Amino acid sequence: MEMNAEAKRILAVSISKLYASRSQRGGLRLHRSLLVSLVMKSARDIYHSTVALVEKAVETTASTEEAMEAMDTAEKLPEKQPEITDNTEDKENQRPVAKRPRKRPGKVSAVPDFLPEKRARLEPGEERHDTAQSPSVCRSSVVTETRSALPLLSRVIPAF
Amino acid sequence: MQCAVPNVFFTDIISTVEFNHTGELLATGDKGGRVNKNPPQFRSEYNVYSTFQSHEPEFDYLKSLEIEEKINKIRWLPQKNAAQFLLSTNDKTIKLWKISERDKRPEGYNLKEEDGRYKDPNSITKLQVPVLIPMDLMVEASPRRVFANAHTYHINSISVNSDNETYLSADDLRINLWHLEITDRSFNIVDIKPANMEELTEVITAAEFHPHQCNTFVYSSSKGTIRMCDMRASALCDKHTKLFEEPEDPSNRSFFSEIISSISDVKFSHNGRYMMTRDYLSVKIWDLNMESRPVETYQVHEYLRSKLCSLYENDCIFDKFECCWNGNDSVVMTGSYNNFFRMFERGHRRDVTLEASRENSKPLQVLKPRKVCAGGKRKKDEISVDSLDFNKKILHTAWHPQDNIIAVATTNNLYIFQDKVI
Repeated sequence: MEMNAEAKRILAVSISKLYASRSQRGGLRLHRSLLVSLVMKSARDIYHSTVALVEKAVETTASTEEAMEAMDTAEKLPEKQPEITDNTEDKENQRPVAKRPRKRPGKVSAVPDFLPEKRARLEPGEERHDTAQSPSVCRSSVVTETRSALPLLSRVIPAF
Repeated sequence: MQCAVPNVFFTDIISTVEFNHTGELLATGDKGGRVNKNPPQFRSEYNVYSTFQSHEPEFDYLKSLEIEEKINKIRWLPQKNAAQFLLSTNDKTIKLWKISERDKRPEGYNLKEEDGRYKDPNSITKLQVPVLIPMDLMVEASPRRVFANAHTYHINSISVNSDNETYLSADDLRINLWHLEITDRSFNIVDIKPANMEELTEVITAAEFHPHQCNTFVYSSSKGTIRMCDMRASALCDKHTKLFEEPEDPSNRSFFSEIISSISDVKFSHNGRYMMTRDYLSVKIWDLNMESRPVETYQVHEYLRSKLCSLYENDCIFDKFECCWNGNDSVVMTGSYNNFFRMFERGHRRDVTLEASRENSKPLQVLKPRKVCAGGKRKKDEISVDSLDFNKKILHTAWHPQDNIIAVATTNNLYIFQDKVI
């Protein structure tokens, strides 16, 4: 976890350096940008690997717990049957039981909070279709392609 | 080492320091695009006696980028006549300057008055031979050549060939070969730009011609490798003749391994048998006949290895330290932080840390060796790593080609030291 926090911090520092280097006098320094992007790559790899490890551990725990519950349910089923009708009547008046979400909990937190949000991606066909139908539509209203924050090397290196 | 003269103060940050081939002159370049020339009045006493504006800030309208006037490198040409010539470069343009002295002026023209007005021809009754009379020394610097528009990326090195006719200039991805007389074209001899810039993995950090072999040059990379090329092999020297690389120690692997292995300077020895490289933490001496590993490695400030994260945050990890040889290649020198500079005596495997500071700059005062306490109990005269001032750094140093006189540049001061005179 410490490694994860360290990698996340280094990623945040690196991104701020890359953004700051764009406004510095003399233009983007290729050597420095390359070194920063290499540090980012190392930190990103470690960050994702630790996140993957955490997810795997959570999945393993969840599957173990489900297996344990299934075993418990199988044992308790004959005893539970007389109580079903009672529970059914009360269920409507009871608070809904918080069900375990079917989604993997790790997925939601996988996106680091220091990265910019993704914009919606428009398929090329949709873009052309829109243009053909309404050529008078302002260009600025067309949603541009999504650009994820990583890999940043494509942004870092100017297209000379 | 003792201080020869009080340190010379500059108004701007010094960006390069270079002795000429005889050691008679010392040139410094600064961030403001100025070149200062210092000749000695007495042995080892250098005073600023000529300053000229080499480069001006420019603007690239196509790319909407400002081009800094900062002087990246100065290289003297061997002297052929009374005038001196030097090459100075900023990020994009190299200029050849002629520096000449004038200490006499003609007097007694027949057709002109002393103030330059033409005489009335009717008033001329006799002829006289103009004579040269002494005048106050005047130093003139005039640009003789401008080598422009050949580099897309930022120039980091220039190096004059031993043939005294050509020189190379290197930027992040390319190296060009110029003739000193021809400004409108250059030959590209190294090009490491990939077809897809997203596949870029290394850049060129320094380049230098061999001191004696006019066909040989080396260039270092951000990956810690040095490539030696022979211009006789092919016109485009993309294939190296030798690759100098030391395997990385896996136990030292960290987030910042790539940064600290990047080579910031490469210098051939005067005898042409060795070359020296400087990376962030060490100086390495390579035998040109052995590519597998350096023959000597000197740790400059190994105590910083545990501080790399902090140094990354404050950008110090990107500092590019230079290194230099003494005249007979027995000692090497490089800079560090807290205005410390280090000398390594090769034969006796001795090293010393000295400090360039105003307190030590009284004339003829002997410098006291300094020591950094890396851990444990700090002794009386030692300085702890946490007390080091990382804003005070010595990036540029130069050693007189014959004598034990060194020039050490702090942020905006130039210190000149000489060996102790008994």
